[in-house]
Amino acid sequence: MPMNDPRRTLAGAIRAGALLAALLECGAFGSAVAAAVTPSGAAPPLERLTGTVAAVDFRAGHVDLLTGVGHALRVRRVLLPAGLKVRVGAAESAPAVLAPGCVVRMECGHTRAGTVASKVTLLRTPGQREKP
Amino acid sequence: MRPAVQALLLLSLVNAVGATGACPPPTRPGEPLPGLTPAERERFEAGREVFERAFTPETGLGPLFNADACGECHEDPVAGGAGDEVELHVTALRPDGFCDPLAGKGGPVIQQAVTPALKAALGIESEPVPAEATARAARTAPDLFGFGLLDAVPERAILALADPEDRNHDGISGRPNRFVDGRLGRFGRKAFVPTLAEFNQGAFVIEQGITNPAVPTEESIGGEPIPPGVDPLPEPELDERDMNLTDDFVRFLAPPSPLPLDREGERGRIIFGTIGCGGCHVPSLRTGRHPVRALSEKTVFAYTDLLLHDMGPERADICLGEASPSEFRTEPLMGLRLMKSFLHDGKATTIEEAIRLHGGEAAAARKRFEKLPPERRAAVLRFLESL
Repeated sequence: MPMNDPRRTLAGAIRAGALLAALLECGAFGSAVAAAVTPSGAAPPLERLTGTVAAVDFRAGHVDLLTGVGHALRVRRVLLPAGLKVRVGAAESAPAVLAPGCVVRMECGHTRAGTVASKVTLLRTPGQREKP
Repeated sequence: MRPAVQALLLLSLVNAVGATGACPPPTRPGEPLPGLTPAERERFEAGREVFERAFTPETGLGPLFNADACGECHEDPVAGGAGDEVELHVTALRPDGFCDPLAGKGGPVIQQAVTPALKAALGIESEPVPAEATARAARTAPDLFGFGLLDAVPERAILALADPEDRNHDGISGRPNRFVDGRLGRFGRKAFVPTLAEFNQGAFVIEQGITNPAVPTEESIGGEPIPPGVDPLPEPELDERDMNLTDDFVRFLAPPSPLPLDREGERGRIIFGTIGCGGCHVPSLRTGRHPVRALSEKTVFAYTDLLLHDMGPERADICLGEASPSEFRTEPLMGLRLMKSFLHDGKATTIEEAIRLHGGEAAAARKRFEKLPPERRAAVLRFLESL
């Protein structure tokens, strides 16, 4: 995208708005996660991740999420706190609905234990067909 | 003359006018899009400098890399063109059907060179191939001409060409690939990457080991962290200005104007359509509205649908995203006459050989090509050699 482009200003405004919305939205849930994970109880920094689930380990309580830019791909390990629900459309499910290949959007906080999911939305299931 | 033939001739005339740019002068390889503003033209020229800049370990190169400059691979016949380098990609198709790009093990791109500091630290000369890899792929460096126009094609235009269930029973069932976040992919041989900007940002890291604001972390070394002291330059190693200039250079590269068609070539262009090649190599796409006027609402004669098609088991290599090992994006044919090797792996050395290596969904069109009388086959090749 060119420098000093009006798109950049618009994109910046959208990003700022999204960040503000995320901060407002996550305030409530973030505090619950923070209370559970961080000893201090301070609200951890928030991060939004959208990626593909590469691996799940429900016993250990984490998923490995595939993210990245172009062909520079990265794996992020995200902890799933007990009681976390996964939003699937208008419904909520247990994290067991997550499987390798699922595309998810996560809102996460950062704690000493690592990256912790506070909200998970299932966007796409493996092999989901395009609508003709 | 039958009305259908008249219509085809009229269409070919319209195409020829559009493709050769009868109004604007023809564009040669490496030239910018016609209609750029002076400021855009300035960024194109400044971006070319970054594109051709040879990096060193002191300026951020490595510690793993495939080339020290974008222009080292994209060089023939000019900056932004194709290259003779062949790189290595690996992935793992797991038993549960998930395509693992082995990102945690250094994949999917396995770098073939290391800096002296990394060699001294680990004694390696290239990145190790993960043991988990189930397939390897050779990948050539394509030319980048016209990629800005492909980036500006609206998603709905691409999706409108998809026919995953082959509902029209033509034997061709193009389907889109998806990036890890679910967005429509269109760049790369497996149509994995959604945007040109992301393709360029990722390429700096995987090809040169140059971190940038969008990708501020280096590749791992087969999944292991970089040894201390081996890559001392702070991240990002390329600033936003230079990243954006490089992106502008690639985005503003014009597709080379096709050569004027003689009667034989014109005949070949029509045969190309009638034998079914145009089912995947869709002659033209239309860009949407774009802030850059030179990219806005333009017809690009790219001869691709930017969708995945099954090319048959003999061409199969790696999976990537939702693409199976045998699925590949229809390769754009802009600048085809400038290429010295063909197909995603460079296996074919001539256009005719490339056609004969088409399988899967393309097998029927290939067979029709092979059954053509020699003079009609020659006409098709004459047309393709004009692109």
